[in-house]
Amino acid sequence: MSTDTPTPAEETAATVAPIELSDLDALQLDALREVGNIGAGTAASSLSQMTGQPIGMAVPRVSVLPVEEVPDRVGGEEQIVVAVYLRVFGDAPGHIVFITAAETAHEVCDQLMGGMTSGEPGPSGFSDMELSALQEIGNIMTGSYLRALADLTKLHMEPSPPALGVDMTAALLSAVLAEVAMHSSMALLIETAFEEDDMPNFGHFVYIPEPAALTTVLRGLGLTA
Amino acid sequence: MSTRATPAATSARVTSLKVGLGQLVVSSNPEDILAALGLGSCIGLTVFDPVAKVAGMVHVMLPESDIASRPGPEGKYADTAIPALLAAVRKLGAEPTRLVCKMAGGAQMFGNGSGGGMLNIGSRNAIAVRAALQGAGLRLRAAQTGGNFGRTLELRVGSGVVTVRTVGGPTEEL
Repeated sequence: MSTDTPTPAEETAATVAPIELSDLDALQLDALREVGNIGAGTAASSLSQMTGQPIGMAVPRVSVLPVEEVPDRVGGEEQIVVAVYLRVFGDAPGHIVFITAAETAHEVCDQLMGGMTSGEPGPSGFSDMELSALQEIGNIMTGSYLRALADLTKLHMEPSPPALGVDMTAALLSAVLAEVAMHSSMALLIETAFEEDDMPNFGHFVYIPEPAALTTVLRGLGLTA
Repeated sequence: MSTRATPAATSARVTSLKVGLGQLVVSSNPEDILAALGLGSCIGLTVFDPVAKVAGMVHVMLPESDIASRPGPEGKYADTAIPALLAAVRKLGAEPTRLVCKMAGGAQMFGNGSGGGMLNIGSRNAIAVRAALQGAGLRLRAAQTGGNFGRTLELRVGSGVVTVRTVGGPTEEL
């Protein structure tokens, strides 16, 4: 294999040991925070266009922690939320989850449907029409997050179709974490919270790149480890 | 693992001990409640010795310890969690033949949407826990697994009563 132009896959497999999550330095963590910022910023403006409401964003929080501790960090284990999950394939595989409180999701549905009746609510508390609206919102938001991420890193990233769940935070999150735990005992978490004027805790994005993808993402950002 | 073997003093204050992802918790304090909040694809397994009044719970995340490159906490993998749980309750005086075992969880979360069908580790977890129980010579008394909804599982150490709570549903005794 030539030393000057190895493909990322070859290099990861053959010559470069994957970065240990706990070894990330301040500059690299800053860069990953910026990833969260740009990704969620793009998603927020997509949502803003749909609802006509301005949406603010908090500074992203980047954490490296054992997979088992993620629910504690995210909090509100038994809070009822709507979550949209995308698996990311391509150069940098990973997981993206958008989580929003059920009450917030109801308000967004009302804003979008403008008082239109949308049928009887099902067991989840949402009607079928509301669920498909939420899936579409989640799809657009996670899609714009991923596109921003791909543009920023110049990497090829392909999303799975989105999956939607309405349930307790921990129940939904731990199902995603089980996937993460198959490859790693640690998780890198990039969280970005959204705020709307009257809804201070509008929702948040959680992006978890797989450890093997981290080297690729950091290199895409111009930070070779 | 957190072990609560000291009986509560004069105050009869009920303590809820959270059994987080991958954790193993045992107790012989009758005031304790062991609780796994929001089980999704994970399995919560409870054991209770009604004579010794010793209880334990594991929050199993994955079926086998060789799936992942590195180990985690004691309750993380079904194949190693059950022997560890058995050893921990025996240490508090439980007799394996008297143990009442119950489990809940193993759901397929994210059932809606065009990507529904991903993340089907839940049923594999349930199978692995059953196999590990059998391997340890333990019989399962009751189970509520599968479906596409989350569950909160609680075990009252004083009485051995196990309850399952779901979103929008009643709290049921298991």
